[in-house]
Amino acid sequence: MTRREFVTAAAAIAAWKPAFADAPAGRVSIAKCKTYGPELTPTLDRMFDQVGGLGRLVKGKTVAIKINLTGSPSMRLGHLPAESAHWTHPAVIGAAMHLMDQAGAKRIRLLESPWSTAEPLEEYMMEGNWEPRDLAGAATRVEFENTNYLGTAKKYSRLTVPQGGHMFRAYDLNHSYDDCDVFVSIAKMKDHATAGVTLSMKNCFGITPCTIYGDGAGVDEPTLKPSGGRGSVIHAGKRQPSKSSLAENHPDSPREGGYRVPRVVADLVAARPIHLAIIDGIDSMAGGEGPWIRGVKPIKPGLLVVGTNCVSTDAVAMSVMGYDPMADRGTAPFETADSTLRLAEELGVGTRDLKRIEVAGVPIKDAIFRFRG
Amino acid sequence: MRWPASWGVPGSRELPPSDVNCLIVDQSPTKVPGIAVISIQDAPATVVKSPKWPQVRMSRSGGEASAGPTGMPWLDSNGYEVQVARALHPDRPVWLDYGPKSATAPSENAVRLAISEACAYGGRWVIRPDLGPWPAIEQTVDFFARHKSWQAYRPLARLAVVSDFAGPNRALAAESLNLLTRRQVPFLVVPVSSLAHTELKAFSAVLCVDKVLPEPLAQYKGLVIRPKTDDPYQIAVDTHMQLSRKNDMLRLWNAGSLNALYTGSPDGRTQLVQLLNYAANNRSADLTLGLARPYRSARLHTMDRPEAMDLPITHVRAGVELQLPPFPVYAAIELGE
Repeated sequence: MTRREFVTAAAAIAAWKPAFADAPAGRVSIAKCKTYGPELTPTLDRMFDQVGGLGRLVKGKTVAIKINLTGSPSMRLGHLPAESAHWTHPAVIGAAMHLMDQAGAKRIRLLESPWSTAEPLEEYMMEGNWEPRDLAGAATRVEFENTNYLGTAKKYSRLTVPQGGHMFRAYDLNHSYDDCDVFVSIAKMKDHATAGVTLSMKNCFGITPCTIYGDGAGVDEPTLKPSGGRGSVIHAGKRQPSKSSLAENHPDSPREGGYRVPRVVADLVAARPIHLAIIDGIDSMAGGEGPWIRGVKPIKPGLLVVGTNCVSTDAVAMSVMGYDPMADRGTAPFETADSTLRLAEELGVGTRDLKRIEVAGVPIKDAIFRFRG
Repeated sequence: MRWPASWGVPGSRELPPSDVNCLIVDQSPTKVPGIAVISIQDAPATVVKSPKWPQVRMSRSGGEASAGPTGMPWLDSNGYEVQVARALHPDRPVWLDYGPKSATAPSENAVRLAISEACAYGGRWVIRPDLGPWPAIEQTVDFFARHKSWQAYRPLARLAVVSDFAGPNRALAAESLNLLTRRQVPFLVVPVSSLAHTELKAFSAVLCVDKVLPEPLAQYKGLVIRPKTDDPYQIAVDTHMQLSRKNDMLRLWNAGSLNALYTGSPDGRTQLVQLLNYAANNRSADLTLGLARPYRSARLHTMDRPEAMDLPITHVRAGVELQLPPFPVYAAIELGE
C-alpha cells in the first residue's frame, strides 16, 4: 500500500459511520384515551397535528393503511371481541380514515392479510362481528384488499430493501403496498411471544403474502390462494419462499424465530417505509399477541401513540409499556429475540434513542402502563 | 337396543329398566314377550350407513388432534348424514347403529355424545348396553325424551343444499354438508325429489353439487351456486363466501371442537341452538354464541345441570351475543324474541 492509498483508506474509515448513528428521528405524540367513544376522534386529530398535521401527508394522495387482524376471527381472548384484545379497533381505524378524508386524502385502502384465506377482507371482518360498511362510510373513497395473495393485480410488486436487507434483498408483495403514495400502519400495542413486542413495525410482518412466504406456498410459483401461516418459511426457515421470489441472503443463518422474525420485519419497514404510525393501546392484552398464547390477559392501558417515524414511534410505545427501547436480546421484552428496533435502526429507518426523539402530548413518565407490572 | 351377543339368547337376561321396545340381534330373531326382536336389516327405520363414532380425530402419531385445512380440529360426525336420511325419507325414523372402533371401552361422556348427536339431529342411537355404564346411557336418553318436541323442529337456514344424494353425487354432496357444518353455515337438505314442494325463494342461495343440474333449478332465477371444484372443503369455503357472512345466522367463538344446529319450532315461536362438543371429555371454554336475530330470552339446558338456566343477553351491532358457561358434550339454548 502506498502512502496515498493508506491516507485515503484511513480517511474513509474515519468518515464511516454506521447507519444507525444518523438514523432519522420523528416526533411522537402520546395521548391518554380511556375509551373508543366520542373522545377518540378529537384526540387523534390533536395527535396528528402534534406530529406535523395530516394535510401535508395525505392531501390528494392514495393512502394505504395496514391494520392488524391477526389470528383467526373465530378465536377470542375469553369472551372479549377481538378488537378489545388483539385486533386494532375499528373505531381507531374509522376515526383515522375520517380525519384523513377531511384532510383531503384522495383514496384510502384498508389492507390486511387475513389468516389462511383469499376471501375479501370485508368477509373476514364480518366473521369477527365487524360491520365493514361502517368503515366504507368513514371516508369518501374507501377500498378493501386482502393482501395475502395476488389480489386484483396481474403480478406481485418487488420491493427492495436498501442496503441489501438482513434476511432478504427484496420481498414480493401485493400491489397495494407499492401502488400507494402514503403508507400507514395502524397497530395494536402488545407483547409478542417471538419478537418481544408488536407495534407499528411488527404489524408489517403481515404484509408478506402467504402464497409466497406461507406454509402452503408453491415451491416454484406462488399458489393462487394462501394456506397456513408463515411458520415454516419465515419463523423457522425450514424452507425457502417460492422460487419466483428471492431466496434468503444467508441460508446458513440461525433457523430461529427470535433471530429471523425481527430481521424480516426490519427489512420490510425499510423496503416499504411507513409514513404514519398509529398504535392503539386503549384496550389490549399483555403477555402475547393473541389468545393462542398461554398466560395472556386483557388490559386497558388507555393510550394512543402516533408518529411519523416507525422506529421512534415504537421506541416511545415501548417506553410507555414499561420497557427500555434500547434493550436487546436477553433483556425484557427481548429475552429470546433480537430487537426489531435496533435492526431497523441499523438499516437507517429511524432512531430508537429517546434522547433524540421529541415527544408531544403526555410525557412518557405520565403515560407509563407496565405490561409486566 | 342392540342385544349384545355375549349376553346369549335374547330374553335370557333381564333388561335394565328403560323404555326399550325393540331388540336388535345378530342371530336369528327369537320371540320375547312384550318386545320386538329383529335384525337390523328389518329395521322399520332408515339406518345410516357407515356411521362414524363421534369424536375429535386424533393424528396418527396420537396425542394431537388432526386438523383440516382450516386449522380447526377434524371431527368425525354424523349429523349431516342424519339430516340427509330424514330429508330423503321424512316418514321414517333414522337409526344409528354403531359403537367405537377402538377395543377400549368409551368413556361415559363419549357414549353421551353418541346419543346426543343422534338425538339432536332427530335420529336415534341404537343403545349398546355393553359399551358404557347404564346410568349414563339412561340419563342421556331420558334427557332427550323430556325434550322430544325438539326433534320436530326444522332447520333454520338461508342456504338450501339440493342433491339426489345418490350414485356419484352422494359422496361430494354429503362431505360438502359436513364441511358447511364445520363452518357453522346452517342449511336445509333438499332432495331433488322434494324440489317441487320446496319454496326456494325463502333461501338466499341454493347449492347444488350434482353433475347434472336438476331441471327445476335450471329454471330458478335466484342464486344457484355450482362449484367448479370437486374439493368439498373449497366448495364449503366458496359457498360461504358467495352466500356472504352478512347471511350468517349464528357465529361461534372459541368453538374449535363444536358443531351447532339451529332449528325452529313448527309454530315459529321458539328457536333452538344445539351445541355438540366432540371433545367430549374436555369442557367447552370461553364459548361465545352470536346470533343475528335480536332475541330477548335465552335458556340454557345441559345434562350436568338439573335445571335450565337463563343466560344474560348482550346486544351488539350484529345481533346478540351469549356467553356460555363451560359444558361437556351437549348444550341447548332455547331462544325467544
